Amino acid sequence: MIINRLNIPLLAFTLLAFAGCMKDDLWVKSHQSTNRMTHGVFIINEGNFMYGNSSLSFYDPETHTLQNDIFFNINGLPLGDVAQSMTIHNNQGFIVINNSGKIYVINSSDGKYTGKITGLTSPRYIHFVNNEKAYISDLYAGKITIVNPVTLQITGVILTPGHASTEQMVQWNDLLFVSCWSFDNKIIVIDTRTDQVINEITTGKQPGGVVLDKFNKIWTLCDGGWVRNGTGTRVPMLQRIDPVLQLVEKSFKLTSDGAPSRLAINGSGDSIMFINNGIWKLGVTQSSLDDHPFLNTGSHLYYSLGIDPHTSEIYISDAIDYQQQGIIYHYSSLGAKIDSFKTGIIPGSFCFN
Amino acid sequence: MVTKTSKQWSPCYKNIISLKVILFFSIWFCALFSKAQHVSDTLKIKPITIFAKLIIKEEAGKTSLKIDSVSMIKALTVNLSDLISQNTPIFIKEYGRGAMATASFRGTAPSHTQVLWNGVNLNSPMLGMVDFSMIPVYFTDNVTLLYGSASLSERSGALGGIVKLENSTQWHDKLSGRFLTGVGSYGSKDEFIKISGGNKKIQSQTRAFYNYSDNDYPFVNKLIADIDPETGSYLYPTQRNLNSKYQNYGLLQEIYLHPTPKTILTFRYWYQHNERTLPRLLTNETDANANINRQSEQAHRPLTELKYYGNKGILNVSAGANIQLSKYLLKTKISGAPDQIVTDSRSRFESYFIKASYNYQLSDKLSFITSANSDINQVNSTNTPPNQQPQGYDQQRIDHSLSVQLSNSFNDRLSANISARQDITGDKPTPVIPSAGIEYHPLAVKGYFLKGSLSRNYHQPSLNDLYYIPGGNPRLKAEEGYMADVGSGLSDTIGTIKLHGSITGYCSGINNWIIWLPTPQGYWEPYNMKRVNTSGLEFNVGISGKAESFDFKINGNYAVNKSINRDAPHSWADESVGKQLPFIPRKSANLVANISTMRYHFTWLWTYYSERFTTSSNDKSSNFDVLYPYYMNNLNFGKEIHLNHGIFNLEIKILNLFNETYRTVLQNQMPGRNYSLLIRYDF
Repeated sequence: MIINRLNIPLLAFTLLAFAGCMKDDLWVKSHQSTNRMTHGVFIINEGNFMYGNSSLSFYDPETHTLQNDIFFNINGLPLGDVAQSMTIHNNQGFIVINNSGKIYVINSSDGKYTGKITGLTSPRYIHFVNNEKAYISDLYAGKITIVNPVTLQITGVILTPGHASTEQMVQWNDLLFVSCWSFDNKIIVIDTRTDQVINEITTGKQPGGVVLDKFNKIWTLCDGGWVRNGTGTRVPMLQRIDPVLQLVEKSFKLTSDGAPSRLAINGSGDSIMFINNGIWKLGVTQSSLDDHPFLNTGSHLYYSLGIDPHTSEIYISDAIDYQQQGIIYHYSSLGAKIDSFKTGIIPGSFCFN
Repeated sequence: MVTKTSKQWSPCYKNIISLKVILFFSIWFCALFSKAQHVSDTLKIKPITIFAKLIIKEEAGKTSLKIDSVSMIKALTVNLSDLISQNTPIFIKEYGRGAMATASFRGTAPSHTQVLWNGVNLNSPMLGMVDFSMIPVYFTDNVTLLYGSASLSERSGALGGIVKLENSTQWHDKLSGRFLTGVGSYGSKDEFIKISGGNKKIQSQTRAFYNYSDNDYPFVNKLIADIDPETGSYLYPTQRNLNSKYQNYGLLQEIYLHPTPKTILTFRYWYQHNERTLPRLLTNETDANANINRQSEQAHRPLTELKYYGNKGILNVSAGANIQLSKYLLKTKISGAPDQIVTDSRSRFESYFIKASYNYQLSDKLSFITSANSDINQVNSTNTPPNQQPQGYDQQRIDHSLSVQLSNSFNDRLSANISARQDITGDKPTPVIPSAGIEYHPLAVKGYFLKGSLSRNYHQPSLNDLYYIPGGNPRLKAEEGYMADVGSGLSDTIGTIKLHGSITGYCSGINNWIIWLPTPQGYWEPYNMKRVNTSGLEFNVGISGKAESFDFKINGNYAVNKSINRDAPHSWADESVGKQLPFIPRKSANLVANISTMRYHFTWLWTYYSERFTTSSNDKSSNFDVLYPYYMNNLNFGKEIHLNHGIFNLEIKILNLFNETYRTVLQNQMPGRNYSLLIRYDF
């Protein structure tokens, strides 16, 4: 008899040897030392939607050193799902994690996690009004959330009736100009003293980025939304707004074969740039756009753009196929290539320290 | 945090419990008047077909795997994804317990696996794929996998293969049935009833099921942490898997008529309702009132089939439909303002088909099969953004297919077949789809065989691929696959022990593989990749028999697969070319061991998947670039009690036996050790 009564338990025991042991703890816990991050650029890598694989990188342009995945390596925690933006305030880095509904706070010089703001819906950007008050815009809620950056507690909301989402914010005196991007065509004006919406400005379709130039003019980039084939034409445009009159005073029509995005302004506030297939540059006093982009797209699919406010050096990301480490191209303010390096998946925004 | 709201979900549950009691006694009553039929899973091991046995010339060279009857009974309360992952080398990508599950057959995409239920294609014409978590094992009697070229005997388009679900009846002159009730961890409940009855002229089978789970298993979330204000150390929260409850119910009615000795007429109708919420990711810390979602689906599947057995051939004519309505709602509650609908997505697809086939035996050695089918697929899909008008598409596509197959047995040891299929998609003919298979038994040793097959196949883009707004790409080409299989196997009996083993090697090249990627316009759009090559080896071994009072059966599968991206690089920095496709494991294995004695039975199920990359570049620089290998152990044991009029079976299932902390995708925690208790009564 090949198998007898005694062999059955033995067989079962042998089979159990196939049983495995998975190491979830080892997988998620990690602590590694990193260099200090006193001067340079944080690169916020969005990661894939619903994968939860966003990450934070830091690049020092003086030493050309790069540190990837620093939030996880330093803190032993993943950043979350779709890291959207980062803003530094009082040596604290506020990293907005869009699809995790929270903002992580880190020490901006060593990357250590010091706190978080939770209980948000779909946060996009944070704007600091002062040391005790900050506003958080939201993609999926018609409101601005008010928080205290010291206690990290939500202190109130500003409802935005008629606007399902809010996007980027820029402040002029006591007024905050907030773009309503998703399926919208307005910039709303909030009085930061009263936390009230006091006006709204009609723009082109889907105003996204907003910046303030050296002449205290507000610029916004409207991507033109999306038009079903055969039912019309997209009209993306760059617009200049007078914050006093609260009116659009100039519009630059853009080619409709791309989706203009990532409006940025240099450190001196006299030159703005954006992506529209290639990288376009416009002096704030120019009356028309150049005929050709400042940097051609070549074989790249440019995804994001940032300008160092201290040096006006340019950083451009290419997400390649959106499923692998994206690449950053580092250019001088005049467009001469300085460096390139790979960061995380879908490098989506830059924050300069 | 969401509190338990099962009552909101199951207002009918109290009624169902009452109904259950009534049904239970009704069945018991029926049983008293019926002749006992001994349906047992205490391993009265019947001859179970695992792989090719005698040469059937029409199937020569084709690789298939039939899931055995014991495994089918053991998996009654699970869905098709669990049955397949536990018994076959197919990789099931599961997004959580009760959540969506898709299949990767031989390293291909989910849309390359087709699921046929008695000839009805269950793949959504909108998405191109099947959610395996929505198909209950309750409603099928036989599950067979047709690998690669073998799938062309049914239809084109399955570049990975076909999962074939079939129902059958027995022409008994008696009433029989099955009643199953179960409770499990996390508020899980399972109910199933099947009543069969009739005579030699007419048979009726009625099946109904209901299952529900709060699915709120506890776990310590190590992906988020608060900082202890005194010590500075991390405080990991203990959480429950909220927002992931599910509720499914369905009815399957079958009528079989035998009006003449040569004719069988079948009518079937399958209705199913599925409802679930999708859990948040582990890193999610949104407001509890934010992003509240709900997904529901209703399916109607009528089918009629006529079989005529002539002197030299079998005529089969069938017609049916698969109609599915889906709704997904995502909303946020804002204090002081109306609820904000973030996503309101609705779709309705209707697939109608008619098919006729004739299998004619030209001689004892030569047969000819021809078949023709027409499919009408219609999709209406809308999505309503906040404060906007609905946007979407309404499209129809009509497909036709005609195939012929010639099969020959040259002698007792050698058989071969060739076939050709012509598809017309919309109004465009695809190139002819050829296929050939050969099988040879070189030795006198019974059960030893060599086989091989070759084919070409085309998979058409789904209607979402073509028309989705925004991004649908009407210029997409069909995916074109070239497939080859070679295999060998042996089966033998030594005393009371039966052994079998087989090895199959395969390779395929798929041109124009469809993938969705972002565009400069900001939305995603599908495009045709240049090529993906897949290749691999599949092993199957099994042993069964009797040792003293023990019956035992062990069956195992092991597969090695490469699915390599051969696309043109996007730029010089693209590192994806030559790499394994994301989320497809290189290796997978499973093993099922049954032992029974004195009407006690014990089953151990073990499943393994190797690491899976989450990036196209197969990078390992971050922990989140790789999912660690997956091992899972489940244990079932029970006791049968034979009564005069039927058999009671009491069974306990222990899932995740070693209480592993694990995940199948990056950010969904899976449950720890959990239990279910099942009581089954067969008469």
